[in-house]
Amino acid sequence: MENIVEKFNYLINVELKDYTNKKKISYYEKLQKELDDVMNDEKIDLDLFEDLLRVKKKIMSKLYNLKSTLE
Amino acid sequence: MSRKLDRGFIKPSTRKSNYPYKQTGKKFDKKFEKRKGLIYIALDSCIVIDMMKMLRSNRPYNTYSQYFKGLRKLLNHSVFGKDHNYNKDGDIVFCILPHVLQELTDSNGEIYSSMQGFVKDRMVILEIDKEYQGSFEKKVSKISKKYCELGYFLGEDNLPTTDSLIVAESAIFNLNLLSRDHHICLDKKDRNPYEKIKRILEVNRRALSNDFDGKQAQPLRIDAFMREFDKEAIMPKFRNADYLNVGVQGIIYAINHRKLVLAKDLGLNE
Repeated sequence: MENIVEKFNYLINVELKDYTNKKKISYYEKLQKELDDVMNDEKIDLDLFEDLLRVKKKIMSKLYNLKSTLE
Repeated sequence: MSRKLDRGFIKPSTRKSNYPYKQTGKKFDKKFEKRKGLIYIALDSCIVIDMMKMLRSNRPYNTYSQYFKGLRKLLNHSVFGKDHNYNKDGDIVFCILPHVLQELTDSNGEIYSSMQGFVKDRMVILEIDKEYQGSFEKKVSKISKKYCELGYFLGEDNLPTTDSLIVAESAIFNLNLLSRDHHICLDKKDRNPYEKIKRILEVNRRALSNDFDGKQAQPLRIDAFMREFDKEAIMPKFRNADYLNVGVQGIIYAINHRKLVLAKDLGLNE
C-alpha cells in the first residue's frame, strides 16, 4: 500500500520542464483524478487515506499556485 | 429531643429539592447549566479522520491518549450524533470550511464514500452562495497572501499551501480552527511559538476589522481548545454568515433556535 503513496509522491515531484502552465495544470488535474479513484473506496484503510490526503493537499496547492499565476 | 431537632433539622426551603437531577433523573451537570450559547468550531481534515479512526477502533477509554480523550469529549458535546440523532445537551457544532470540503471531495464534487456518512451526519457544511463566491475567494486569497508574506504556511518550494486558505476561511467566519497539524497551530518546536499566532491574529484584525468585534478566532490544538472549554471561557462568535447559501443559513438558524428536527427537514447536509 505504501507503494501507491510513493508512486503519487514521485509523480508530483516529476520536473515538467517543457510544459506550459496550462499543460502543467492539466497534468496535475489528471493526477488528482487518479488519486480520487484510489481514495474513493468505502473500505479504505484510514491510515492510507490520510497519507493519500497529504498527497492530495500537495497537488491542490500546486494547482492553486498555477491557476493564480494564470490570472 | 429539641436539641436534636435544632442541630439536625433542615428547613424545607433550604433543601436541595430544586436540583434538576431530582426531577429529570439526570445527574446535575453545572457546566451544562451555565453555558447557554452554542459553540461553532471548524475542523481540519486530519481531525475528522482521527475522529473516525477513534470511533472505528474498539480500544477501551482508559487506554486513550490525552489527544483521543479530547476528541471523545468533543464528540460527546456535539449537537449532532450518529445516524442523524441529535444531542439535546450538546453545545458544540462542527463546521466544515469550503477548502476542507474540497480536500474531502472527489473531482465530481462528492464527498469520498468512506467519509460521507460521518461528515453528513455530524457536521454543517459551510457552502458559499454563488453570488458571493467571487468576493469570498478574493478575500481569502488576500488574507492568505499576507500570511505567506510573513513566511507562514509555505510548502516545499516556498509556495503557499492550502493550509493558508483554510486558516483565512476560518478567520472570515470567526471560527476556531481545530487541527493537529503543526503548520497550522502552535508549533512548540519553534523558537518563538506564540509569535506566529500573534502575527496571524494581527493580519486577521487588519483585514477583517470592519466585519466583527469581540473575541477573535484562532487555529487551536485540541488540548488548548478543551482547556478554554473547561474554563467556560468566552468563545468567538460565528460571523459573516451572509456569505453562506440560503439553505445553510436556514439550517444554522434552526440549530441556533434548537429546532434540530427542522434542521434535518431543511436538508442538513443532503
